[in-house]
This record gives sequence, structure tokens and C-alpha cells, in this order.
Amino acid sequence: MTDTDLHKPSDEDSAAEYALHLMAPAERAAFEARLAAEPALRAMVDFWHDRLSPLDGEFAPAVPPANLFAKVEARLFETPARRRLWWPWLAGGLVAAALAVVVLQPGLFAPDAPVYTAEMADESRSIVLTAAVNAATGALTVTRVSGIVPEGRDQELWLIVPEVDAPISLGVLPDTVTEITIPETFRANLNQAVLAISDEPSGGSPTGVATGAVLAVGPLALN
Amino acid sequence: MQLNDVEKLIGQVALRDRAAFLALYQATSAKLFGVCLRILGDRAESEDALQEAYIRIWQRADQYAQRGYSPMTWLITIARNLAIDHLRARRAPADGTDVLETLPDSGPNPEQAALAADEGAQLGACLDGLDPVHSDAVRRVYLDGDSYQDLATRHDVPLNTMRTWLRRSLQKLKECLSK
Repeated sequence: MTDTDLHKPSDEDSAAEYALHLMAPAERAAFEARLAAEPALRAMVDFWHDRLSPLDGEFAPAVPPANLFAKVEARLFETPARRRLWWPWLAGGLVAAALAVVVLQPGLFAPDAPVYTAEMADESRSIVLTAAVNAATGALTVTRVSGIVPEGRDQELWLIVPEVDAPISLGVLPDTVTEITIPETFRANLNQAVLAISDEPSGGSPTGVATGAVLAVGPLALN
Repeated sequence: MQLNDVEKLIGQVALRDRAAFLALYQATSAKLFGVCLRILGDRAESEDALQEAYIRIWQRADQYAQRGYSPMTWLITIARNLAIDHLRARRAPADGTDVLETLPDSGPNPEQAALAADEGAQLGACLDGLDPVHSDAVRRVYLDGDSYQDLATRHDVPLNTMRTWLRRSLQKLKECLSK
């Protein structure tokens, strides 16, 4: 018999060690895989959590610093969440836009005043908007085809272009048809741009960055 | 705040309710910070561990219902485990003996250790039924996050001897608690 055999833990031993957090990470991971499938083992672990819990009375409470919850929220919801919100949509949109440009490029349209269009919709098509923009003048017309703006909320239009890191707010869309002018600075690569709609408080995002859910998204393509 | 309120808040957090998350934090963070401080004995590290604990609580709130014990125990277990992970990570690069020597000897004094309330009476009696050295080891593991290696060093016994020893103590304790 080897030393390992002598000290091989029973399931009861392992359950107690797991509950007490005595296991090394690899051992712990292996035990957790079993736990998910073995209710009897789970019950052994729960026994220890439950029966040792009177000891919790010995942990003396201490008020954490006032800003700690804000840090938790920032890590869970703010910077990373906002950024991640856009990029999966954007990556898909850019591929679609690139394909559309490749297919439609061969000299069929007047090169001096191309018109790009986009359809922005969610998966269920409960919200559908169309957009058309004159690349020379930046005149953009957005038409709501379906979907409503809930009372007390606004829907904000965002332009995502490759040369700018963050989505650019183009304003809220209060009406069925909204006319907006895209500033000249952002007109150079409209063939690679994506439009998106986010849900925002009345009047639009208070921070200049999308704060609500992305409701609909669509790449601009030559029309 | 009553326990069933905490349970209700965890249920709302599972549904991604951020107002409930704040209420849960307000109701429980002092206790959980106390857990981290006891184990880590360092404010900055305890603040990190506490942040991680609430992140995990938000992420795993939907798993709470599967457990068979109180909501506070569930929350404390999350904080305790994360604090112990910090403790192990801190000790890992150093020679365990040196680090141990710098730690304050926080052995419980019997008066402080007296378990209040009825629910604690059985645990207290069962711990008292163990060899005092063994019950002290159980308490150090639970309250201070001691590892087998910490205990082996403290009692100057080989690691595997310590394992066998604590496992036997826990078996005895379970027998007593199951009566």
C-alpha cells in the first residue's frame, strides 16, 4: 500500500474538505464536477455548511468603505459592459457591410454621390427602422417601420465608424421620420459604418455613451 | 433584516434586479467584510475580496435556490472562500513557515468562543467533545482559513499526519452533530 492509498479520502472526508475550502484548486474542480451529478455528495457538503454556520457568529461585522459598491457596479456593469455591448454587433455588421460593398461595388452607381442605406432591426423584427444617407451631403433620413418608443423613454441613434473608437451619437428619434445631418468628419468611410439604436432615458443618454440596451443594428451598404 | 428578506433579495438579484442588489449589499456587506478581515487581516486585500464576493453573488444568485441552508450561510461561504483564495495566493510564493511566523496568534479565547443561541449549542457541545487541540484546529480552518499546511506547521507534524488527524476529528464531529 502506498502513502497515497493510506491517506485517500472517503467521500465524507472530501465533502467536509470542500465545505471548509481545504482543497487545492485542481482537486476542488474535480470535486465540483462530481457534485453537479451526485445529490448524495451535495447533501454531505450542505450538512457541513449548515451545521458549522453557528460559527459565523464569530465573524465580527465591519462596515466597508463607502465607495466599494460603486467599484463592484463599475466592474459588473459599466465600462466593460458598454464596450462589450457594441463589439459583437459591430463585428457582424462590418462583415456584412464589407460583403455588401464587394458585391455592389463594380461601377454601377454614381461615384460622386453614393447613397447608403441600412435596415436596423432586432431579431424578432419587433423594431424595424430604415435609413438612407447621401454620402456627399451627410443628409440622413431615418424612418420607423415598426416598433414604438415607450412612454418616458427615448431611442437614440448611433453611428459606428472604423476610425472612431466609440459610437457617435446622432441624436434621439422622436418621430416616424427623422432628418439628421452626419457631420463631415465622419462621412469618409460610410461604406464601413454601422447604425444602431439604443434605449435611453427621455432626452437621450445623459453621458454621451449608450446606457441602455441596443435595440436594433444594421450596416450601411451602397444602394 | 430578516433572513427571508435576504432570501427574497437574492431571488430578485437572480432576476438581474440592480436595486435589489444594492439592498442586498447594504444588508449584508458589513458581515461579509468582517469575514474577509478576519481571514485576511488586511484592509486592502479584504476590500478586493469583498468586491469579488459581490461580483460572484451577482453572477451566481440563480444557483442559490438549489442549496439547503440559510441565505446568510450561502453569502458567507462565497466571501470566505474568496478570502481564503487570497490568503493562499499570498502565501504561495513565500516559504510557508516564514509567513506563518508573521501572523498574529489569533487563537480563540474560550469566553469569546462561546457559541451564542440555541442553534449553536449543539455545535459548541460537539466541538467541546473533541480533544481541545482538534477542536481548535477545526475552528482555525473555519474562522481563520488555515490550511492543512498551516496546521501541520503550527503543530509540528507531517502534512499527511495532519490530514488524517483533522479528517478523524471531522468524522467524530459529524457523528456527534448527527445525534
